[in-house]
Amino acid sequence: MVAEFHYRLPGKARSQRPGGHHSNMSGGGMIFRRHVSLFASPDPRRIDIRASLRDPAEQWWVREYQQRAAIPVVVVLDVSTSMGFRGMQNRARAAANFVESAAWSANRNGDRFGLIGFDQRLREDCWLPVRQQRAALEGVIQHLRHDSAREAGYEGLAEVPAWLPREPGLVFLVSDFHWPVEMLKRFLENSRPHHVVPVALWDRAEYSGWPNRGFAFAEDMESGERRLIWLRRGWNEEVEAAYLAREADIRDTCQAFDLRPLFLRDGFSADAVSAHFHGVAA
Amino acid sequence: MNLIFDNPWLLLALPLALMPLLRTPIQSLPHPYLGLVPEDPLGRLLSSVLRIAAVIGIASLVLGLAGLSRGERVIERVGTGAEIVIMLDRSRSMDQGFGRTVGTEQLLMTQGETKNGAARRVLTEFVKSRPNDAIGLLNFSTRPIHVLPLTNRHEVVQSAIDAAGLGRGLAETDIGLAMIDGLHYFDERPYTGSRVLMLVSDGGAQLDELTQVKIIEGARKHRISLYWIYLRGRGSPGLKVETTEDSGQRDAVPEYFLDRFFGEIGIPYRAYEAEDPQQLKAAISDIDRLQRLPTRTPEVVPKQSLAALTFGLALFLLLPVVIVSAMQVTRWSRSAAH
Repeated sequence: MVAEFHYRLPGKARSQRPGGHHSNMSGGGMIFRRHVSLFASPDPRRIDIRASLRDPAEQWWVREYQQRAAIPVVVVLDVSTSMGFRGMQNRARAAANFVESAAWSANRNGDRFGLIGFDQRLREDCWLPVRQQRAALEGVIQHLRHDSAREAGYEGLAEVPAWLPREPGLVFLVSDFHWPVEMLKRFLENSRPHHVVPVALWDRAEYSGWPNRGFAFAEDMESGERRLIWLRRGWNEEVEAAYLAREADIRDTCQAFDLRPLFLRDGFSADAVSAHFHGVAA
Repeated sequence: MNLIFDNPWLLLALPLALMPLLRTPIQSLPHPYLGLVPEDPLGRLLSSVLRIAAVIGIASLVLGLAGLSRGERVIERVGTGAEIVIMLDRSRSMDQGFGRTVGTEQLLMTQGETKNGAARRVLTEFVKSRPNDAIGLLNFSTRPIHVLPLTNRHEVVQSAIDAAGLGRGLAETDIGLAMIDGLHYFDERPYTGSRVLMLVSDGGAQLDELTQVKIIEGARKHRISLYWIYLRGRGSPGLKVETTEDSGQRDAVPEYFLDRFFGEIGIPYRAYEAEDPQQLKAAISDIDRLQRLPTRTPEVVPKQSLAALTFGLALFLLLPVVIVSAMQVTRWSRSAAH
């Protein structure tokens, strides 16, 4: 059973495709917008007889409705090595769950879904074109879940904006954000018309999961750097402080674009994502 | 310092010492991004210390396995003194006390220190006061007894002098044979400093012609100085005979004859007549003062195995690695899903 989450755009969609989101397009919908003259909107089915009779100028008036629009939903997924981290959660599995749930939710909303994977380049094997069909989805999800051949890097993110759909939509940037904040800033600038939700998949183990004593040869999963750390009391707090500073950094960067990042520290939870869109939680 | 190896081919394993620079034998804890983990200067320091210690430790281990040892070598010792051969009389008469021909004392059997004991005590001090001399020891009685060749190991000399007091005296005194043997001590040795024959005895001897010639030849060849410490016993005649007897009769006294013979060899010679331990001591310090010239002596130091050093060092240096790897952490304390 795939969990579904609810999402919405903060503003109005500008898509002409009918769907489930508020838009400022006129067309078939339930919400009355205004009266226009028959000449402006030559659709005799929607002639409002009462409004036309009331008009002293004896013009024909047509009711115009707001059309609900469909938007593209794109998950931009970091598939670098560090996304394979296993701490309290299996981060690769959490990411795959997110993609699966997003695809399902988009489908339920009648929105189109796409996936763009990146590490140091764009990853064709983790790529789904923005479509209504879910044909190729299963295979890619399986691939994400069980893929062990990951590569280091994040530079591919710079190429992602060029591959986003032209229609403004919703973009989830799913990553652990273990790369420079400038990169995020540039991405947010370049993917401007889209509403971007940075989704940070963090694990409590990586900052507060250090044992209280002993020696740890911490090895960076991407750079391969090995560092001997003399574990002692208070070490977890030190690391956690660094992570909190990082979180503040990411939040500040997003704030400048009027965006709110979503931090998932306990794996993927559809409710947490829904709560984010309803402004309940961070 | 020349180093040798028992199994040099094991040195082929020496590049293994570089392994710790490539990898540390400790399982790592994968972390997604160390850029967010604060620096741990203590850990960093420990890490480099471990690495260097492991390199040196493994190198030391390999050297130890290859059987590193300090090879035989010849070192040159520079002494302020001489090469001294002490010829100590072990005849039975040495077990008697000193005698002074004064009054009735001669007749009293005053058992003071024996001549042997006094000689040993004073010689011990003498050896102690000349730490840089090469000293040889020859005991003699009827036959000469080689005790020690010329050596700088003074503890050995001391022990040998002490050992000369064991048991009773042996037999008669044959100074001629002892002299010839004492001279042989200097055979095939480079002339590096003054050479001293120190004859400690309590009697003289008549020497036949052949022995006389041998002694004269040897003494001149080896350029020795001769000191005779004559321990005068009870009733023994002195070296200087005051009586105006004719020379033939005087030569009949062995002590007098020997003194004259030594004086005629043509080498530096002095005789000390010691009637009591004080005089003996004075004589010895006189020699001590005279023989203060620098000498150089080569000494052979035997091969020394450095196994204890190399393996000890390896243990000491590799122990931290073992401790750290015993205390290593390879799991997160909060890990659930795997």
